[in-house]
Amino acid sequence: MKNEMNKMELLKQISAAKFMMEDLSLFLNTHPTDRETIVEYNYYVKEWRDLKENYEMNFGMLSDDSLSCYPWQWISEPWPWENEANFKFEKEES
Amino acid sequence: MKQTETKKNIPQNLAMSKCIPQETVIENVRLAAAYVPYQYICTLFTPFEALRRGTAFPELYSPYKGEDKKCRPYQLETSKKERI
Repeated sequence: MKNEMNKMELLKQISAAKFMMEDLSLFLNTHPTDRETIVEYNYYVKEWRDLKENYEMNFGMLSDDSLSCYPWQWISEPWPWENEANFKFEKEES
Repeated sequence: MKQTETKKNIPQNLAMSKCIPQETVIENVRLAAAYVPYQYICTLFTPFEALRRGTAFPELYSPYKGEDKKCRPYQLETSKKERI
């Protein structure tokens, strides 16, 4: 149970870091010389990579470029549209 | 419900701050073209807040206001009456 919570918490952090990457990269497309934002963007890229690696080491494949142990891990996870594969947002979170 | 009210206040506060450039001069304007003020980097939401609100930039957070919807059936009703 604790493991399961950890997994969902990690998944949430991965999604949040990835979202920051996406949104900051959109901003940088129109502001390519904004150093401060490039630093911020790079920070989230590193964080996202670390979190993703951590998740994959402990809980299995996240995407089609993930490493797999034996047996093939892709088919043993709940599918993305299944309830167990998704985290919930608390109403007020910071 | 309380929290949605505080969220609604955010864009208004920001509009008053320096985060949104209040441009009054745009050079070489053309007719029938839309112009968008140039965005400056200001504060960012925390990653969780950004994911939940759909934007990392507080000045771009603009939730749909449910009460605007209430006007519509009324207007439809009055226009019907006018036709009769």
